[in-house]
Amino acid sequence: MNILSDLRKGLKTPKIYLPILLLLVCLLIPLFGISPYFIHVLAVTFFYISYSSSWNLLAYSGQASFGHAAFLGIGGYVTTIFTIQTSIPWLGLLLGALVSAFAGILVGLTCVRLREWFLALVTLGFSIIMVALTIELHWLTGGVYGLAVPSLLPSVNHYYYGMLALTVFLVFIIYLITKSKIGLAFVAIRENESEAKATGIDVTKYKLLAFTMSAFFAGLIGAFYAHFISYINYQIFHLDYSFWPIIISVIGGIATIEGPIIGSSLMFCIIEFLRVIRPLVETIDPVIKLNYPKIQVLLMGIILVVVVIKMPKGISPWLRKYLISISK
Amino acid sequence: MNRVNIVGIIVLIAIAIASPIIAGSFFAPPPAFIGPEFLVQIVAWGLIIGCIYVLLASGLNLIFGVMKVVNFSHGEFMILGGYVSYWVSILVGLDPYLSIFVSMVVIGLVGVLTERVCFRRVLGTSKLNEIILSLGLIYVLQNAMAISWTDKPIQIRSPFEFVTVSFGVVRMGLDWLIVIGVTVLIMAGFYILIKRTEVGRAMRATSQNRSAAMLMGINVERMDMFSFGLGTALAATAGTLLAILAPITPQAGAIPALKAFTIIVLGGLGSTIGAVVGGLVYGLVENSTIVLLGATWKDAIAFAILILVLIIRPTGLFGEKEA
Repeated sequence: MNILSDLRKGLKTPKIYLPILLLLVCLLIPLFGISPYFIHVLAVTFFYISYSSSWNLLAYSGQASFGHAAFLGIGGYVTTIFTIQTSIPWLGLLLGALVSAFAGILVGLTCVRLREWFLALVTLGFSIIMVALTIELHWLTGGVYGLAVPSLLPSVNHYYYGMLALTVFLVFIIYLITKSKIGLAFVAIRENESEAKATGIDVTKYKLLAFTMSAFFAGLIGAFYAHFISYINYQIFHLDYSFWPIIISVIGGIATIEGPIIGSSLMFCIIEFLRVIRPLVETIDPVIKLNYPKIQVLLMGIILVVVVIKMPKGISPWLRKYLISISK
Repeated sequence: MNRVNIVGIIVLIAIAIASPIIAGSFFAPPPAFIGPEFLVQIVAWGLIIGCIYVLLASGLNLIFGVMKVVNFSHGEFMILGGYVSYWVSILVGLDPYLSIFVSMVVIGLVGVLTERVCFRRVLGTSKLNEIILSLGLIYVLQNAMAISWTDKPIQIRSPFEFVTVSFGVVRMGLDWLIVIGVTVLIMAGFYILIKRTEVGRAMRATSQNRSAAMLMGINVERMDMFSFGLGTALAATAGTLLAILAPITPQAGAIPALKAFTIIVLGGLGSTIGAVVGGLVYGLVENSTIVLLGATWKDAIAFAILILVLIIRPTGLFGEKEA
């Protein structure tokens, strides 16, 4: 298998050591007795890495979903309802992912023929329809009040490792997909759809495959996330949940493996930095004190606009160039 | 107007009438209190909300026609317009309906600036970049507004707030009639500007064929700027009228803008008449949906119709053949 030989080759270059080092650091962090709050925030960061990666896989095939929260929420709701009804743990995760993948096929069937704007609108509309459905089917989903999700793991640290394992697993799987023949077809479709068709790639099939896989991963993450935050209501379909993976992936680097990781880490750094300097800044003006969370989001919005205008490929190519220049 | 357009408009109206009735009969029995007066009230309120959508969709449509850009942050310009009118009417004491013009000018300039600083830099790079840029603008504008003026809902106090006019069985607020009148006036002005003036002709030429327009000596970049400014000015009008009719918050703009885009997809991308008819029809559909199905479906119905239409015709109701 050429991926294994790639890996063996990769071990000789310094490129492979950076992810391994990062992974080691992530594995060791809870052992240093860091506060549960920090562990929680890191776990949420992992959630955003894996969730954005699932979005990015779809973007890899040239399709940008603007309602990915629908798949996240379906995964979350299915696992919640299943676990409550049958009290069988863990199986719900897989079930949620499968139902989400099925929804992905349905949405994908509508979307494969559409252009960018329509695709954005249909996926977004699907997540808004899901809100109405969730509230309407209150006997099943708890309506506006939502449901308490049964716990899978005993402590924050366990969830931290669970989230880490899930993230590493997903990023690795997505890496394998993008390196395979399927990934090559995705790139061909993304770069030029009619040329891809001319070279004999079944565009519809591959676009649908991208949708299904992306929805499957998003459902899996959503299911685990629901257990992690231990409560689910219709807010999981909120536009913010749909837009954050886009913001993160675009800032990090759209259609790259490292993009979501860089984007999420940057978001984590910004939010933590703002939290640390908060007492200092708040003394300046009462307006800042009152609107602190909004200032964080405003800052992310400004970064997004600047990144789209100044470096449309995101931070990742720039960072790569920088790493190459210092390794020489 | 050709035959396809007429057929399309009939289809739209049929959808408008049929969808709530069909949906209503499936999901819930229609409430027993629907009498003729109530029906007229529903239609009236639907048309008034439709007016807001007409203004919003026309602006979006103009920007799309000329620049081929979908401005997802259009709703934020609308809300910004509402806030500008609110402050003008409070600080200067201007009549809310006259402050529309101040708001149009201010938001038009903001729109021109946004086009110049943001959209022009990414124009033509990729469709995705343009969409994501407008997504970023949603976050920037929403939070900037929320920081400046808090999340508290505001409503513009109209001088005719408690005046009602009765037509036979129906009683309507005077404000409702003025809103319809203002919309008609603004849309008439917009129509004349597009169809009868030199600038309008240049804009239409740019929207039909950009490179040919450039060869004819039209400054297409100036047309981009102008159409964006005009589009956002129309959004500012919509925002002011909305703030007169109902309270607004900084976050209230995102969903109406998406619905406005749905309307222009259904009414035909780039078709002026389509946006007007689509907006009114959609106002009726939404309002009857609220009555028949409940407020839960208020936002979902637009997208349900959109998805159904796009399944049948992937390029929209009157979209070009080429996908």
